Amino acid sequence: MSKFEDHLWQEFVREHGHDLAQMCRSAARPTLRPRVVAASGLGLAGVGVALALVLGAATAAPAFAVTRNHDGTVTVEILRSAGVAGANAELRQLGVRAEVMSKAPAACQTYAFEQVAPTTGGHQIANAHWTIDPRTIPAGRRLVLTPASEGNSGNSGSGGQVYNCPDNFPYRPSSPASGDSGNGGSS
Amino acid sequence: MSTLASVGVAMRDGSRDSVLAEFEQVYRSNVGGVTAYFARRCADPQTVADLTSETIVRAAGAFGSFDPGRGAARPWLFGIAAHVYAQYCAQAANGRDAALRLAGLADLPVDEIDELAGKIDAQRAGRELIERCAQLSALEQAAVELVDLDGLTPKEAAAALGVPRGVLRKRLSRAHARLRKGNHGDE
Repeated sequence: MSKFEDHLWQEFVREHGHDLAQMCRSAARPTLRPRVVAASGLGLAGVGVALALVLGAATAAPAFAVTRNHDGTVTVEILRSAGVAGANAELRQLGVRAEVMSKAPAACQTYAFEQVAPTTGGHQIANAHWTIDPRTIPAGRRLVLTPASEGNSGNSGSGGQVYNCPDNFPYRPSSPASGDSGNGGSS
Repeated sequence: MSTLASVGVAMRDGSRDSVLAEFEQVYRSNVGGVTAYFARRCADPQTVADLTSETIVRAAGAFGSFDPGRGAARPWLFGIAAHVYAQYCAQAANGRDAALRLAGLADLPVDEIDELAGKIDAQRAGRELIERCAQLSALEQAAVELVDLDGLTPKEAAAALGVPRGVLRKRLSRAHARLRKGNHGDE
């Protein structure tokens, strides 16, 4: 392999290897995707395909849940940091331009849209949740949801942060919250 | 490089511990082809790196549901790459600056930029073939590229493109005939 390809693999393993090792292969293929999806052990960012299939095989406690509410808002819950990537994948599946990250990129602005009501988050990306309204996300923008303890200056309520970011492509894999291997366990 | 068939056999194990090793095998067998796929399309090494990275991360996220019994890893991966590229193009067409990256994303080291630039140069013949394919339908173009440049079998190309094998073979044959006719016309 070339130097780039070796480097890419090393970076991938460092950021996501543990989570991939925890992944179960699923033979079962449900034909319907549940409206509320909960997962465990899936710590990869950028997942966008057939997430629910993985979740069907999960036997441990759920790591995240993404719920489309009756009023059109979407609630994102991260119960363990291993659920970050799965939640992001589900958001993509739902067509919601929002992403959970451990820290907002510098290009982002503190959220300033009153229609959206972000709620609490935790110190790590665990036991954190946000409720957002996808209809209020302006074209060309993406929301980044972060916990409150990363030193960001945003103020979105009692813990969680919501940032208004450029929706440029591609977003790099987001890492689980620092200090957490992605295996979770403290829900 | 190992063949995709051997990868497929190895992946039937499905145990938790082997998933990372299985994915590494898929990665090592295919990342060169995926990089070349993007190198034919993008003149910027950083973009090639980003799109390759995005493809790998998405593939890893979907790996739990990948069923080697339904097809080899290579067409599966190229299908993801095609989706990533289509998304990239759609966003670029919307006027978003695809080259604008979020702060904090690591740039490639100089030696890797040089390496990818070399790979982009090496794909000149491939780009010329793609340009000659401009007269063909999108499906025919994709079929020619996957089979003639990426080395997929027609069966694998059909799987990657999500079309029946017979349709792929027919379109490929027609594309080759038109390209030959074009060659004679140029002489």
